[in-house]
Amino acid sequence: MPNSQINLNSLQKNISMNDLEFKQQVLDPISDSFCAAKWYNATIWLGSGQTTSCHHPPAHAINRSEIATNPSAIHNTAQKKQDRADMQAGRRPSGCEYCWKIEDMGRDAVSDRVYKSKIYPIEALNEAAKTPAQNDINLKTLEISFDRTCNFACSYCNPAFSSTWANDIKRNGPYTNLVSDGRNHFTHTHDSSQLYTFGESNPYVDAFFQWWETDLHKNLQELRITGGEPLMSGYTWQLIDWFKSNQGRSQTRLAINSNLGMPKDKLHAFVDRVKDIPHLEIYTSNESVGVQAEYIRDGLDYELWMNNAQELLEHTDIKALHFMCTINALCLDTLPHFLTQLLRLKQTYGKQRVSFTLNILRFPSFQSALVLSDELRNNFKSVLEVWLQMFGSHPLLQEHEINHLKRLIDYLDVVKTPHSEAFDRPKLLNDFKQFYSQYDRRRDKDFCRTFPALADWYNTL
Amino acid sequence: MLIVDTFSEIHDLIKPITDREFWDFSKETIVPGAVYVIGRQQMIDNTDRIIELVQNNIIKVVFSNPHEGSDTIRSHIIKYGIAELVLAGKIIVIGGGNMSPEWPCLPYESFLPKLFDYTENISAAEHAVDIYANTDKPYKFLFLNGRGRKHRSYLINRFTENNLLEQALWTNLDSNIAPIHYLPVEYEVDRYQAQVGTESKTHYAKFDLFSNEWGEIYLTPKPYIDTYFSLVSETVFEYPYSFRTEKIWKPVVMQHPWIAVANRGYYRDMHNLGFKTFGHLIDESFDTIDNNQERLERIAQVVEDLCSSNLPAFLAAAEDTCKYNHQHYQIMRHRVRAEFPDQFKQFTKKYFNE
Repeated sequence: MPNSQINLNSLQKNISMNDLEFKQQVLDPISDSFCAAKWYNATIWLGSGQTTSCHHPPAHAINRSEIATNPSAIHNTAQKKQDRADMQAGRRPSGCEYCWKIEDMGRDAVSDRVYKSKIYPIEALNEAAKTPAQNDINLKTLEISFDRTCNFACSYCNPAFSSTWANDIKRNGPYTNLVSDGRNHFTHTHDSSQLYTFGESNPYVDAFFQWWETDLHKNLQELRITGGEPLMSGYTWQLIDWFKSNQGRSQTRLAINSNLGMPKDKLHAFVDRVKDIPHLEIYTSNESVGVQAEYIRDGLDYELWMNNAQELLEHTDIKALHFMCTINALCLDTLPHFLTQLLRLKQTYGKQRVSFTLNILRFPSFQSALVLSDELRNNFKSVLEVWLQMFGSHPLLQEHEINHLKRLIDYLDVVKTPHSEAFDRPKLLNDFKQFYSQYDRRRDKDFCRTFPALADWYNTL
Repeated sequence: MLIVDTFSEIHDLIKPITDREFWDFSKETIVPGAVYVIGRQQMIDNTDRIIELVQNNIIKVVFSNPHEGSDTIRSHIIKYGIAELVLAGKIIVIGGGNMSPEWPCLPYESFLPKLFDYTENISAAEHAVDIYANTDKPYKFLFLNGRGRKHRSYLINRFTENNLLEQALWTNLDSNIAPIHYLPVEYEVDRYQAQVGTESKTHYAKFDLFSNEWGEIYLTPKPYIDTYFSLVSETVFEYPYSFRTEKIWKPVVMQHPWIAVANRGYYRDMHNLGFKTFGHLIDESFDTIDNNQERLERIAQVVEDLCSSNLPAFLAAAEDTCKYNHQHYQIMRHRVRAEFPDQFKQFTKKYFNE
């Protein structure tokens, strides 16, 4: 369905239902495991030639020979076609375990597949349900990463997604004595994530621009660019310039994930160049405040980041600024304060222009909130409950934001394992201590001084 | 030999270790080599003589003025012309708050125990339970301002512009920063209710309101019962050393949640004294902001954010902290006085080898 023909009435119907109603009335009749993201959404890492349907399933390889004749194969891989067949039959693809874990908490639990399906018209969902699984599908929403160039090296990221992380490993060697499932993230430079340098011929990037030129720019509802830091990639600027040179040819909404850690002059240059894009939204990441945020997201200057966020919001060309919170063990202490700061931004710039999501970190498992002691988890859970009581009825909060918070509270309370296959608490605790003590040395940081609420527990590890 | 001014505030505290007392330094027969504890009025009345005696190494002097703290006591020292002698460690200081390290100062927390020296206040504190019994309150916060100071002026103007003061119980007793604003009569301490609203002879309405008494020290429970938290605008804001006055101890003993508008490090120092604050409910990171205006703006934002929240939920969540602080206050009010003589001895030993 071309994006000009989006059935607005149908979408309106989705919006009028709450999330649980949508699950029960729209998704469940199709199948117990149906998720429209498997058809209409993709994340594609063009630097490494990998794709997945959303952030939760592990990435898998794109068939390089196939894209030479069919550029849409950067999305329509054999793996996804198998998963589509499973979903049509009500079977649960194993890669989507994140959602199954949430749903297994209770019949009324709302997982991400609800949010990721609700954004499409019901007709599109029904069409996906009956389309043969082997058919190629045109994307409606796409997230791409051109390369991993990034000036940050966040604790929960790794060299596959950050050149600064890769440099850490190159300079200091692998993190040692890690034993849990996340260990391989930090033991090598992940050079396979960056098979080509900018300017070198990259068949995946070529396929993307080919598909963009023929179909995507007409059909795609939303294109989201991630990284690395996209604003450090020449391909991002190439795409931005495409919009400038092809005004009116595409109504695709463009979204850019940015760490907003750029100096002011770069920010101003960016704002100036995106004026011709019909619909631009920015996504940025953070989940705590001040020095704690700067510890977790190494490279961040919190004050600069917040100033940049506010400056972007001053420009009405930028339709919205979304804050993605990666919920990990370290952020819970100041997460409530961060949420209060976001509410303040909402008060200034509007309910819809500022939004947030709380995305629970799964990998590496040793950084999961669930590695914390029961006492700490209960404390943080209680404080989040109080925040919800204090602000839960605030008119500027959106339904999904409240639901995400409730979900996080439940997660801290109910789900006892970071990941069903990887759970081995002694290993996770070992890795937590091993990782952060090495992180402190390499990055000139001090865990106990930065997180006094965690220090006593940390010192027992 | 320790010789103590009977008008100095620490006179009673160090009586057990005092060798002799005086009440008028001008009539004092000087004992060479003695340590003299001299209060503010005697220092003012006898400055030249004291300076001469100290300069000639005849006596050693402890200037005792714990009713003033940090910034104010520093300005007094400069005004009396004794700054050089103080910086040289020849006159040492008992102040009410912390001072920067070059000043030889022993802080004495005089306001902490003082609040419970008044039986009226002990009775008022018994009504703390009513704060939590009634969660439907007519006002959001209590905000008391006496003398005009920049930080108070900023907050009054800002909260006037965004209509927050309409939702507060507040005072401004200094017309130099904004029109005089009294509490509604029923919220004022009984003994001063008759003066509420009377025209003041000067810009400073406090003297008329409180009949030239130290009226701020008295507690009455109603303003605390009818608000969810106190916004405490402390005396010192810009000088980065803490001076805790009766302003902070009032909500502490009333078990009322509070936000302090004070110097950088004020919360840190409260924690060091063993008190808990409300960092689990509100972002208190403003305490680490050096820039005074930025810190003030952040505090204002915190107040605005809090006022946009469900305040009964905040109050309920703050209750345990308030109870803890009240209990800790009871311990501290005895400890502050009991420990002072030893602290004093160590202090004089350090500087005078006495």
